[in-house]
Amino acid sequence: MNKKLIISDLSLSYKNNNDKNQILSNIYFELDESEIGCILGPSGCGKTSLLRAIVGFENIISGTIEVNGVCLSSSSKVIPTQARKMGMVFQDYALFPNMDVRSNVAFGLEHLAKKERDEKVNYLLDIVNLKKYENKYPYELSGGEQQRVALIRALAPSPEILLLDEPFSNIDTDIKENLISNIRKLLKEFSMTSIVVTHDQNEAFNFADKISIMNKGKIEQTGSAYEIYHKPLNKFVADFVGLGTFLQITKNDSGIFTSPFGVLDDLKFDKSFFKFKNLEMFLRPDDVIHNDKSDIKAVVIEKQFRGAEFLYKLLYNDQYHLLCYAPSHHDHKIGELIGIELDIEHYVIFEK
Amino acid sequence: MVPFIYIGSSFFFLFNDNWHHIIDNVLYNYFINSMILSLGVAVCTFFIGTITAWFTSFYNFPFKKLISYFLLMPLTMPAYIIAITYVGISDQVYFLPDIRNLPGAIIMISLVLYPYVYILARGAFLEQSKELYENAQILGASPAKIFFKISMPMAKPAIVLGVTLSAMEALADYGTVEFLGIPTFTTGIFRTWFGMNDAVTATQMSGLLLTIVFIFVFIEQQSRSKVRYSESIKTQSKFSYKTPSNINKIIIIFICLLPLIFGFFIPLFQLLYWSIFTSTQMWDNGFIEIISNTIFLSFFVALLILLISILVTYIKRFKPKSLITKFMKIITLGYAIPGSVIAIAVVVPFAAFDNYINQLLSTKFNLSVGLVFSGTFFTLIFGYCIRFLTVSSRTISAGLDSVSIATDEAAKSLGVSSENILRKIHFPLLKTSIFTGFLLVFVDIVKELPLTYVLRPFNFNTLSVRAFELASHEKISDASTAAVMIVFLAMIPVSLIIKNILGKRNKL
Repeated sequence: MNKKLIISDLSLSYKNNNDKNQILSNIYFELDESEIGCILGPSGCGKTSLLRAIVGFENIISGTIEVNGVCLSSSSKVIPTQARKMGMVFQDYALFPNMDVRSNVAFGLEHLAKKERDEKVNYLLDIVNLKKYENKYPYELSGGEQQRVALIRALAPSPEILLLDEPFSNIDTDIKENLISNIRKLLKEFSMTSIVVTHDQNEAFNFADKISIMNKGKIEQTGSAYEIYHKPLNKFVADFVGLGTFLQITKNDSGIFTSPFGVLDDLKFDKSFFKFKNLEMFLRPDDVIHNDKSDIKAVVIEKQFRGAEFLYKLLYNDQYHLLCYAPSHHDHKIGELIGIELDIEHYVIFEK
Repeated sequence: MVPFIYIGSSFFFLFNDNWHHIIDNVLYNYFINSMILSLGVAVCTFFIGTITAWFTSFYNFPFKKLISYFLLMPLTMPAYIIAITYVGISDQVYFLPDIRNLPGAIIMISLVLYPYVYILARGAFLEQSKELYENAQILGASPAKIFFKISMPMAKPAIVLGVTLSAMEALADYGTVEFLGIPTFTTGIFRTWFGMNDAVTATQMSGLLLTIVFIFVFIEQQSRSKVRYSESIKTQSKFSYKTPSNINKIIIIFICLLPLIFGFFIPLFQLLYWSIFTSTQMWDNGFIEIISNTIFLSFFVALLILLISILVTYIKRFKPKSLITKFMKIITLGYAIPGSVIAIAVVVPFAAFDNYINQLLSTKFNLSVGLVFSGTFFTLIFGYCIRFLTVSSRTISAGLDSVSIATDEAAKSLGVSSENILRKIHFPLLKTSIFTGFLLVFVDIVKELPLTYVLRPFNFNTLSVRAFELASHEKISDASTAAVMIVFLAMIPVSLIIKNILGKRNKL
């Protein structure tokens, strides 16, 4: 399949009172036709700057941004935003407050003949069930309705790529999940190549085909949600995505690795780590299983009720912290000793 | 209240011969001239103000900060003073066109009034969120489309307000049109009043002028009430177009400098030049007295108006339904009323009242107290209050509105006394508004001409009256010293206001 978007070796910096401030460094990012990518990272990591570079609001200092094999940005060449055919949904939607819904959606369609334009607007309004609001003004709409207007307004000119900047941050949690899957379905129907930027991993997991984790202007890892969660490449990704704790691993003189729970199976982790002496193992809460019959016991030091399950924070051997999900009918008191066992398919090991 | 009732009731007086004479011969002329003048000023200030605001809001160019600041400086120039200056210049430089005509007056007044439109339009442009502009660009809109479809419609209420203010000021102008010899409503009122000694007809004309003014106010409020954009500003960073090419930069700077040069620098330097040659004759004790008169009068009246405004604003906050609040709504229309109308509305009733008192006292007690109110500082200050109360009370009430009632309640719940709430919370938050309100009124009083001219006590002169009198007697260069002093006196507070309001928002 042809690559729709190729970003290679992109760097971006702001000059701030002679102080050069590196915002993005050596970014590589690719998307296939109609693929939905996600840039996931903590606030201030540079993810919005990357979007702005793609739309053409930021000038890059090195690297290239190519769409359909055409270079849009390089250190020497910048195609203006108006000519890039990008669509963007802003965090607070940025609907034009002086125009009604219909005019907002039609704003990017002025090159079309009136009849064609009207048809397209009607079609889009129908898709998101907003036909009845076509003459309302943005301030008369709810947050979710405003978002749908923003979405079809961005889709109307049939952009090459749709960019969504924190699109769900203003949406109430109870309707969010439904909304995410609806919008994903819509984008897939349109075969819309899209990039969503968010700090919320659940949004990323539910919305994207491919996730890139970004930190301090660098992409740390790109992969599917499963890969990111279960095979994090470094401690930042492990820590940022999902919950977990680190356990000290030591190597004895005969080259055998042991964790506080015993000897490790060499086959379950990468040989490249064998040369190191001090390692750490990353444990997800789902790697630790509660079993009343187990001989390995740990003390409950904190617990959170999560409906179907409890998240227990445990202390093993007076020094090792662990997290464990247990079905919520296993209600143990703080301070109580409970039995646990480890169920790990593949060790996640980092150099200490 | 009495003055308004008087003006309103004047239509029920008998229309005398003078009225018929005026209707037959000059009223149409007055009306047409006043309308052309105010519409012309509206159009000119609209273009100058909006274009300069647009450039200084959205483009980067060298000296942008300095230019945006100085574009407000013509606020220090009363229109009659730049008219005096340009007449003086065109008398000396033969190839310049004569400005003693209607287009000349329109240009003169526009050159000093465009800052109203500029400051309001700029504020509105800068409040528009960056995302809207970026979004429009992503959707392929050109700068022209963005300007006409987004910036202008959204800034419309502010621009309409600025243009209406300019148009009303133009309608109210007395000094400029009198000096340039253009018959308008305001000059007509004075001519009828003092020339024909017919206060009744003058009042009736004032009533007519007032009606036009209220139509303007009505139009402005209509255009405002339709708009309910609830756009929240989240981003601090402001949108700006990519830095223009060097040629475009020069064009932008040139365009922005034009009104500044003609509305401020040329008149200021010409006045300075004249005053250097005449200053030795001008600086006598009399002149120093005039300066101190102006400063003291402006300072204390501004202070008085400030105190009344604070009182009124607090009554409005704590007793929004009281009679005083409703009454104040009417009173604070004052700024819309031309100074000449206020003058006649104040003088005539007070003179009548004085006569009544005198008659009463002399028949009953055989006493003669002379003039109690009319021709004293009382009427002058009263007139100023009517005219300028709006300025300071609007400023202060805008400041007070930003202190939410919840803040007061939070303080009360923490056991803070009312006195301490005012001292520790309101005062620090309102400091800037109070200060600004004071300075605005101060500047207005320093510049005000017709009101002062008519209401001042006998032999009491201020800089504006002095400058106007000398200029009317064709002693333009003699007038320059007083004119320069007005500009300097106004410049200090105006700079402070600009720094205070704009500097704090870091928008320049």
